[in-house]
Amino acid sequence: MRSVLEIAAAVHAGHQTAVSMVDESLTAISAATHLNAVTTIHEERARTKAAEIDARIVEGMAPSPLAGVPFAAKNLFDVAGEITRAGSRCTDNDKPSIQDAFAIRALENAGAILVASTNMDELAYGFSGENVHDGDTHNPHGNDLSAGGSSSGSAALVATGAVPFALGTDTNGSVRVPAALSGVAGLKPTYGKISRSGVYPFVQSLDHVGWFGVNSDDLNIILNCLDQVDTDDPVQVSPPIPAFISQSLQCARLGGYFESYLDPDVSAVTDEAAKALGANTTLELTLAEKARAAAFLITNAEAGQRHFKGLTHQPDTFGPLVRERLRAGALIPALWIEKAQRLRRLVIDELARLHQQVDLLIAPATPCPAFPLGAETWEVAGTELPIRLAIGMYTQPLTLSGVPIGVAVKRGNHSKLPVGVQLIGRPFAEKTVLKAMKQLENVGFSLLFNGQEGNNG
Amino acid sequence: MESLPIIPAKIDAESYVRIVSLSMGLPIPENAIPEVAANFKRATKFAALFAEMPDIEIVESAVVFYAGNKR
Repeated sequence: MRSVLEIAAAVHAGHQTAVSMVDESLTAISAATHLNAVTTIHEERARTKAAEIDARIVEGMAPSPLAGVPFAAKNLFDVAGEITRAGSRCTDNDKPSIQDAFAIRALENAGAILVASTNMDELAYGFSGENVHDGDTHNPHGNDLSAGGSSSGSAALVATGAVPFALGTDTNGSVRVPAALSGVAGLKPTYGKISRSGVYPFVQSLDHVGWFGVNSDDLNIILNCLDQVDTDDPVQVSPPIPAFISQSLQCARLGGYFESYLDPDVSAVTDEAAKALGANTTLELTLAEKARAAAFLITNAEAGQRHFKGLTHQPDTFGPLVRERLRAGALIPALWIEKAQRLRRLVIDELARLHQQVDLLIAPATPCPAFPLGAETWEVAGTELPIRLAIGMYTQPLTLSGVPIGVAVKRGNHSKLPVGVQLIGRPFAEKTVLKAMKQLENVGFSLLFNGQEGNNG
Repeated sequence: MESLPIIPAKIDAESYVRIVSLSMGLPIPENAIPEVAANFKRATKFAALFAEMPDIEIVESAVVFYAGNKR
């Protein structure tokens, strides 16, 4: 499987048909069953749409920008006629969706073709890609390793080359962590930038639609397709904010909290990214640890309240780990949450002050590369960390601020596993983030298919 | 504004879980109490990290951006 732009160009030029691209993708998905990345294959729907696209091209109609490009979506995106699983059994009695999620409609209007829904942490409540109902997602870089979560299947499927891009969501790091651990480019846009309608909610005040791809050019074209007004999404910013790109990138590294636990590979790759982007200074988000705590509590409480009815009437439909987290969340005092919400304002203000000094901040995406599935703890820089929680320690504080963040990846020298770096932009400066990702790709921050690295810029 | 202490110096998480879940009508079987209490204790530790932060007047239920960073 090639990149989005390569596939679209091949279909536009008549070198490939949409049907052949869907065939190629479905074959690759079948060959990757060991990853357990997919929960539903939409074969009939995909073949029908591909045939329609090819027929229009034969009739002489100009192909849409993404004509024939296959993609996958985390199984919390509505797909018409199907129950939105969200990785759980608590959704089994929900009604089938009457239409696709807005993001799927936008992409298919641009010619892309949904081929699969992907595995995830139950209800998006996790960073490891472990799922008691559907089985764990495996990492293409090591079958016993976590692919990262919660958008685990989407990241793994892109990493293995079965689809050129895939949709996920990011509440506390659920795009950024799997991008880093599975070794693909990822983007979490600004809160409110992209419509979430038709996406099963986890934490309404923190949820973002995000996506994975081969490189920043692909992430950019997906952003262009998704950046549309949707009156069904009450939190979407309207009208859309115009794209803004900084002329010259001024970057700094985030220090302090973001250096507290670093595997040597993560430290080295973050250093490399900082050097490549000319980040000679280190700034500190002094509220980072508190921001992580606030994000944890808001997540726990909102999710617990959202599922209160289910916890009361059908508790056995939740996996035990998630159920006991949700029960605890339902009992959190409102005073704590109000305090966390006040803190969110202070975090946004502090980050804005840092962004008055530079266009972009650089931080590790995770404290370490992929860890073994099933591990309760994992040693990072000499300290045993509760890894299912700690793997998100550098993404979670930043989610609270809602700013756009991209993840660029490179293979670590010691572990030989992918390592991710967060590129943190000002609100609505997605294009600046992507510009920095492109700069990094030009100096080797990319993992091509079949485990090859190099310059694909 | 003055900061408010939000975490009692000592909290018996299992008792809290039993009493509050009962008052809220959330059934939690006895064998699940230790795990729920462990999760609640973790939440307590996180809350303690910002318990002493001075309060500000603004409470927003989600992210709000202000043009030009002027608030």
